[in-house]
Amino acid sequence: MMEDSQIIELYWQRSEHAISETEQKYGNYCRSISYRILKDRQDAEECVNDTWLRAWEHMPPQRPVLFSAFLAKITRNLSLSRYEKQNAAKRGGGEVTVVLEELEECVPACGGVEQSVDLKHLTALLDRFLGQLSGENRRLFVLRYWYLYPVKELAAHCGMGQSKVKMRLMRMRDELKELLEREGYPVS
Amino acid sequence: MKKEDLLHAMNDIDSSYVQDAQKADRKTGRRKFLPAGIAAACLCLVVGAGLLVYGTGRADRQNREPAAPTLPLSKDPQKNPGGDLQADSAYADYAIVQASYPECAPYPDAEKFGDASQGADDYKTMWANWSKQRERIGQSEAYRDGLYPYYGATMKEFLVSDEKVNRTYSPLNLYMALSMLAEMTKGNSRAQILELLGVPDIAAVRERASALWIANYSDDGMVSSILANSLWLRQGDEFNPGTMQTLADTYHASSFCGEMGSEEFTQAFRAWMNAQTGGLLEEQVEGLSLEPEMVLALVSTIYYRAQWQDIFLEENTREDIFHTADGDITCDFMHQEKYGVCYQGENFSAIRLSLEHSGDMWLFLPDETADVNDVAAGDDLLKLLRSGGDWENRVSATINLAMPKFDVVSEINLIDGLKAMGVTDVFDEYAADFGSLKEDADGLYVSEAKHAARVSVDEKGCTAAAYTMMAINESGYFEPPEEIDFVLDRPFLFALTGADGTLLFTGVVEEP
Repeated sequence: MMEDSQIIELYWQRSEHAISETEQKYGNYCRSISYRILKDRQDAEECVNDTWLRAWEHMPPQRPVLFSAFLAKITRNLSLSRYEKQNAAKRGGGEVTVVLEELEECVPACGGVEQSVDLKHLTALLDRFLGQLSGENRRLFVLRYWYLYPVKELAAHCGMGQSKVKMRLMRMRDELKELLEREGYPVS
Repeated sequence: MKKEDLLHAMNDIDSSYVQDAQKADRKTGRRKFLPAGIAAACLCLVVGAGLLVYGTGRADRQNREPAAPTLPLSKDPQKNPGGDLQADSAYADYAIVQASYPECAPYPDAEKFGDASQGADDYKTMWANWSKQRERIGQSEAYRDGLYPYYGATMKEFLVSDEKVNRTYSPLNLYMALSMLAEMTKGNSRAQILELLGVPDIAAVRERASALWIANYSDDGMVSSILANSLWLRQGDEFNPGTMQTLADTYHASSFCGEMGSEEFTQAFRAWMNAQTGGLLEEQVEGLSLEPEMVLALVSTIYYRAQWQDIFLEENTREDIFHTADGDITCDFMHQEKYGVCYQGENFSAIRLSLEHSGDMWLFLPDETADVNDVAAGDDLLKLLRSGGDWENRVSATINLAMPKFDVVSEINLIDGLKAMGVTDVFDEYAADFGSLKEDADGLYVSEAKHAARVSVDEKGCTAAAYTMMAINESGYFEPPEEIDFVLDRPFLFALTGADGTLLFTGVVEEP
């Protein structure tokens, strides 16, 4: 299987092999990310195909250092957008809804008025927050809120009970909420 | 601020955190594979560059414990694979040329960088160094397609059989041994070898062998694919220094000189063989010896060890039925459910399992109306491998994989097979031309050509080893010569490919 740097070079050379090599190496990885969000194989397949096109548009000029994460982010973004469009008229269902409910605990509104948020600033805060966590907790947080793994699978993954996992996640959400408060984000 | 903002802001967190979580997830095998049917004999091919081996020997010293070994490595430090000559080894005293091996940047273990934010920078640096080094895998790209005729010929010769026994061999390992044999020969002897290898001249052999060696050699502590070559020379003989130098430089061959026929020299030879194959072929090595009539023994080895990208959960392993040619037997089946691609060939279905930072294990299940020989002898198997998965007749689906744990070993006397493929002169004392090996080469011929291979898979990954040994004698001495259930519950084939697509091992499992 081709090395990441070689695949990226194919994108830069505008070689059509870039996409087939990417599909070969990261197709299943990206599909699993998308499927976890959308719970529909056809939708997941389309998001993955869109990921390759988006990667084609970004390289050049970009030359990602961590290629798998670069692709994963595109897939996640596309899948969440599709999820939101599909769920604009209806509510609920799937892991996204559960995760959003959990995140709501640490991102309260203020006075009923929604404030626009600088996502870049928020991402920087999240990086700071994640950097302060232990490696184990950080991985738990990322697997839950980035990859959207169900708590049951996380518990099996960590070799601990579901209640313990929920407790850890809750503590981390509390810590995140405190950080957001300190940084001037509105709290309820 | 909406809760959705947080979910979206998460998307752009530091990429190393995303990658780190993904890797930690793989290591603990969180992804489940659900049960599927069970097939009897199937064919597995491990394709790619060389063998993958978990870090032992040099890699262990510079990095970390090997991840998830499948077969136990020998406790004897001399038997841990790796080319470095150990001063206290049984063979060190006989060494006259010590091969050098490429430095391998250690694999960046994400779990070592988990607890401090500044660790992420170190991790990125280490990752960048490791990634840069792995660019060498691409070196064999230009030669990849040219290897398929050789793969096809040798598979038909060494995998197709009426005997219902397990069989496996390492195409890459045999290729290396034949390349070195070509270096020692001249005239028609060399031409016959070059034709089988699919190259026009000896310069092309060197280029290709060198590229394959470099692309497939890995000893970084995570995935190792350790190749080694050696020459065992009869004391008192003079050999062409130019050829010896080429073998050392291009093929990284170490040379050892001693008294052929002595118990000590044979013991040193066996110790080297066991060291380079991780002790996996001790029983076969015990049957090899350096006889008084031998002028030179040429040896090539490969040891490979890699972890599945998605490991199997042990709790999902359970006994089930495998249908052999002689009746049903019970064995342990590993189970996994995954969303992936199933390929349909002329008379088989195939899937592939990726190995962490390495190649793939392709699994070929013959259709009910075909058998493993039909698949091994057909064209579609290699066409699929060559396509790298870019295959028209494919379907994405949830695959319920049931795969027997297996540990297959084969010993092959290569002479008849090589003769059938057109390499005849080197085995004929009157026709053989070893003019590149010695000045007084009259009467030199290959009296023995043996290959042994072992491939084992379990929930964690794949371990494999192989050797090829050729003895060159003087004449006068003679030796005896949608939802898809992918259930491997009948004889099947496998192919193990290395990171560059080179066919490392291939085999038939008649009885797991």
